[in-house]
Amino acid sequence: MLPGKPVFLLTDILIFVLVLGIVSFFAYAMRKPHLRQPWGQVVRSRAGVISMIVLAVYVAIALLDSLHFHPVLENPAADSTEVQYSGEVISVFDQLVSGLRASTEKTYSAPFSAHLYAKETVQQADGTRVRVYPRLAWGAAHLEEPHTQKTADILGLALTGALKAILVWAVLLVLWALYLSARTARAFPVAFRTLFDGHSEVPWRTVSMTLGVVLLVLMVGAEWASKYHVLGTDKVGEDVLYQALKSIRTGVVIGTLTTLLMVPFAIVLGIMAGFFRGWIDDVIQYLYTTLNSVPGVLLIAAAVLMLNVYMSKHAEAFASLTQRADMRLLFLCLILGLTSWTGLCRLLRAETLKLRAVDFVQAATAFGVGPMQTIFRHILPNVMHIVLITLVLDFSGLVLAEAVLSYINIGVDPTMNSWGNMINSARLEMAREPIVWWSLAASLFFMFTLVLFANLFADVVRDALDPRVSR
Amino acid sequence: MARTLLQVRQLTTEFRTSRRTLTAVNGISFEIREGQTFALVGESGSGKSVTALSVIRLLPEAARLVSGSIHFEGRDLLALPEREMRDIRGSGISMIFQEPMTSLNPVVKVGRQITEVLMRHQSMSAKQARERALDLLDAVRIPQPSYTIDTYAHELSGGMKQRVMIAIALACKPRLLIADEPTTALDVTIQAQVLDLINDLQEQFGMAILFITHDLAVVKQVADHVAVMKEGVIVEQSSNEVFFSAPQHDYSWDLFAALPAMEKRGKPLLERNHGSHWPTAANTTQDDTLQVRDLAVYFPIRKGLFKRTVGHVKAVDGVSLEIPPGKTVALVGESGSGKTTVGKSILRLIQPTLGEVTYQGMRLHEIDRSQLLEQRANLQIVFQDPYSSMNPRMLVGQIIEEGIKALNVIVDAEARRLRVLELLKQVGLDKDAHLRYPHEFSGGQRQRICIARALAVNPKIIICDEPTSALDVSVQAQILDLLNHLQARYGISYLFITHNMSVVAYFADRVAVMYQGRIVEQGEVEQVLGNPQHEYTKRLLSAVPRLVPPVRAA
Amino acid sequence: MIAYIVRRALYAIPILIGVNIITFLLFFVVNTPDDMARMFLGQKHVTEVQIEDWKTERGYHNPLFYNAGAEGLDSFKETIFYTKSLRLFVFDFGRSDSGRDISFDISQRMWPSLAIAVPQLLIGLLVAITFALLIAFFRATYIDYWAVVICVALMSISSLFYIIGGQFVMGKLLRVVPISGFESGIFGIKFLILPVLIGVVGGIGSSTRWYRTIFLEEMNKDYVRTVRAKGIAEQTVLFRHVLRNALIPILTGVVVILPLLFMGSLITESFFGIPGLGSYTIDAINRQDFAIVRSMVFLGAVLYIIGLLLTDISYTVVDPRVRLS
Repeated sequence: MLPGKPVFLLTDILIFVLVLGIVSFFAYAMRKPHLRQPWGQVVRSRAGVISMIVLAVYVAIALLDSLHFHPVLENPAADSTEVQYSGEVISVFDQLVSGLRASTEKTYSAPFSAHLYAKETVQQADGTRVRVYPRLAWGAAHLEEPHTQKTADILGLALTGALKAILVWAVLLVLWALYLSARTARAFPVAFRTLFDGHSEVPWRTVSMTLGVVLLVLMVGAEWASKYHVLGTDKVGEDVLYQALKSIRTGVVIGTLTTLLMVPFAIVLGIMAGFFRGWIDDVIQYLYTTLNSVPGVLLIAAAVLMLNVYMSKHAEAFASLTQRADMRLLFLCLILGLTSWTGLCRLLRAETLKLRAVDFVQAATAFGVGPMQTIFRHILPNVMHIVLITLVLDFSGLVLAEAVLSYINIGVDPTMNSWGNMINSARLEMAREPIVWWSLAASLFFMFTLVLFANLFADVVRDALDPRVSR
Repeated sequence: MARTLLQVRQLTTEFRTSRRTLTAVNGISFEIREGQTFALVGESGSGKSVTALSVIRLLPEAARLVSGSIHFEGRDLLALPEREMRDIRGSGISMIFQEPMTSLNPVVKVGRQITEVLMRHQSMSAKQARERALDLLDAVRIPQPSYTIDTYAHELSGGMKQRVMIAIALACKPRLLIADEPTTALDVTIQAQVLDLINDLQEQFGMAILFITHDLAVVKQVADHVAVMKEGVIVEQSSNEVFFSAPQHDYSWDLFAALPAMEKRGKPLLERNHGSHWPTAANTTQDDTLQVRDLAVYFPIRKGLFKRTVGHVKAVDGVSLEIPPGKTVALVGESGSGKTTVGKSILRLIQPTLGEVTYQGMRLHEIDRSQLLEQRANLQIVFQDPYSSMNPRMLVGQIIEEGIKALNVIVDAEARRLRVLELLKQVGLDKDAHLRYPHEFSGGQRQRICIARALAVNPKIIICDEPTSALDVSVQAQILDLLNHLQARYGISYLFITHNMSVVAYFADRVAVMYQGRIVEQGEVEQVLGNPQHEYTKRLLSAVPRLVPPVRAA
Repeated sequence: MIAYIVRRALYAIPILIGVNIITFLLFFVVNTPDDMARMFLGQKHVTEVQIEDWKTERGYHNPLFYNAGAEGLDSFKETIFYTKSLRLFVFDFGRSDSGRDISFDISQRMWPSLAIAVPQLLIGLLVAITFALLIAFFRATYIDYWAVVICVALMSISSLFYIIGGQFVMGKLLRVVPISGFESGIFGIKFLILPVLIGVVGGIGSSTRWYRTIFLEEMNKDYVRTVRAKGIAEQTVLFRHVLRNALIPILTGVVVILPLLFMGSLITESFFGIPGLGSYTIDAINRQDFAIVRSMVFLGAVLYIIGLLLTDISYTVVDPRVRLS
């Protein structure tokens, strides 16, 4: 299936395990009315559907970027008849945007620019040398006279993109309406009209509109990106849009895997402390108070410093730079999880303490139901909403934390694409005249969009799942 | 005849949520005259509290006054701007609420909460207001007003808090006092004092009272005029005398019929439930009696540097009683008397400190796990709160089945399923209930499910911990009928924990009166209720409002 | 009360021992001092002698737990565990890997940290509470709705953006304040304006939203209905009754971080060139100075525990219902 030899990075495996987990949870939840009901509420809220669509785009990119392989070497050594693979590791997403990946310039260039940011001495045809802004190797290379043609060209591309977007949008809507009319036995026009109904239970009009806007952005962006560096290039001439897109995976992995890795500890320890109390409670409380009392950033810093030492000592243990960076990413998730499980653990302990005194747990005791069964049947299902709320609430905080940590050099590997690394390297160029703003703006914008919609989604999910919020 | 003070015409109040509209009050009209006590009676959800909040215009945000008019001293309250309405609140119309525990600001001193209203409406100086607040605390019979005025709410008992609430409400001598279930959260002896107090103050201040309650006995004691509400509508308005001798409406008769009383012993409360006779009693050859001897439960008080135990809270302090087979023993007491702790420690849900519980020759607190499991099938429990006693994540079928499985009563899955269906039928629920979740059922139905769950393991004794006190009186009647029916059929004994004397009078064979962790008096129901010996029992019984329900001519 | 505080202080001892063990494991057991030396010296071809010198200079040459080469008690004393970890308990931080006296540095650098952190906290608290009260007053209106949306948007922006953007606009475009630097005394204020302002703006979204939730929760309680039934105006309800109750969770939430203010903010201080403990820590991390990081971890833990204790005490001060026992 992959155009090369697959590589399974640890974070790839974990993220697909997570996806599998989420899918099976929803498959299970759909059959249980009390689990389905709150999610129905999420789907019925406007903020809920908008953020779900936007987040889906981000997650899709992250997932495509998590299928790694060694590409086939295009010009293998002559004496070999077997297929040879390159040592480099790329992802399906890289393959999809191979144009962007390959189109490097010499150094900085502004968004949509046809010229380099810095003047260079160029030897002209007649032998004289002049200081000019040289043309870019790839950006706007198809134009003869960039300063006269560019505006029209950009508009033209936008129009093409918009038309494509409308076409795809229309096809999607028709297909969806067909499905609806088949399922609900309504005439097609009626079904089609419900997609623009502003007062239906599921806000269909919002869904259709959001979908349209997302498609428009994607298509126009793709059209522009095929001819220009939409967000400019960085110091070594790499396309900034490509970097920003590649950073999505890093953000999503940190936001999700961290919680995934810490949740089992928090659940087991939190419920044990609350249920068994006595010395078990004392020990677990001691454990999390101790861990909590170390300032989080310092614990992360100390752990990452130690990892640096370890990695420089065991450099041979990592097959490739990619794998090394991946290990560091996973380690960062682990250590972030270590500093954040205490909060969830404390919540779960408190909730378990409350639940074990509730009548239905007492009734189970009166039937002689054992502690393990009581925990699995009565406690765990009644605290799961807290776990889910934590999962979505923590996500945005973790994405933001990545940027800050990378800034202090205790985040992800410097070779890995991440918004934090982008900001970190762009920050140093703020003093230049004219200012190099695009790397910074791109990373901040991509991060802001993800975090904003994650926050909105978290709000909706919390309102739906938290029994204390009145409905 | 006194002048009309409050006139409500065609009042309709709705609750709007995003998906539906619920009409809580549906076009009701009534009048309250000066100095009159007007009782609004009804079961939960009938719209009586919403009526009260509509009058004082303090409805929650989701509620809307849709139509109608409210005239107070000739002014249309619904037409007043909020500013002028505020001038009326606390001075023309005052209100006291059901929950004295939460109705006072916890971080503001009690005195300040009284003087606030005086300074607001009577432009008193802080000093004058404080003097007046001391007078008011004295008037509501709070001992040591000069001390109490500088305390915080949590330092006062429930009855004291409600007195402070009354002091606040009466501070500006309102013409109308709205009392929304003012004694429901209080113990019966405290209730008697508070009702007495309200009565005296009414004479003193000459105000009218809109008294909202679900308790017909209280209505009989306090009201001049009675209005019965059902589903947002007033179905009957009568004077006290007429209502309690010959009520007009069928629903009023139903309410009276559902009231348990000594006179109704041995007969079902609701005729439509089980016919007029109990089924013939099963042979109760089982001559086992549960014996409780000198049971005591102490909770340690720890203090100081090393948390040494410096004393004990004696929740239960030497309780002895017997539960004979096929009989109902009532355990009566006010809140904090330790009655629930007795019930739970019999079941070993709480480990007792001293004493022993013997059943079928076994000391329940000494037997090992396997023997205990056997006994768990004999002893079961039904809880007070029908909402917290079932796991919301489990199907009703699974809930009922849990005990059968855990105690290996029936091993075969299909047989178990049939048993669950049979149990549902026995407690009067539909067969398909087993595939639904608890939240789909009403409070009374939930309590039936809980009874089915307890019955599932064929217990000999069920400990009923206030199983009807969270329920409306008509639902209570259904549950009591069901329990009677099951006892007659299976010879089950009940330890019936309650604070409700009329339930005891109707339902129990023997009664034990608990006070501060001890049983002060026990014996046959007729004997204890008819001729109480202990001082506390006498006090308790005299505090219970008396009501002999009218009997409908056949 | 005294007994309670003493007991809590005693309870801190096992926690600090735990922290100590964690740091010891992290810094000396996962990686040996040899590894650190190699890392620090950098080159591929380091001689054993160079490593030994590096270790001896910094006191890492001793064995970890037990020095077989020493006599009597000294066999425990002349170990890394004793010299580097146990000494922390008496706040003897020793010397940094680059040879400076850590305790002295800390005592010098905590003041600039406080100069930023304290005004930031106080102004932030004041502004957020004011906004939250306003929003609560207009609850369930469009003002409320959009205020919450703005709060969510504000808290979705990375703190790095606030700093970079703030420096760019205020310092570079408008040139109203210096971009970075620090000076003690009254003239130093011009250096404080920008970091304090940015800190306040950066935190406003999340804290306003949080306080709003607290206010609204409080406004749904029964006692508020009682106050309204007295005919009290809505502003008075908010200020005299709701605010006083809501301040309990807000203030006690602030108290826990009060001691940690000494530690300063890592990001703010390094961006604005403020010579506080935050930039001290960052520099240490970047220079891989393990001795300083170790000391800061321990100091942070102590301050956190003090914060917990202060929280408990503050409850008894602001909430009449709470008595310590």
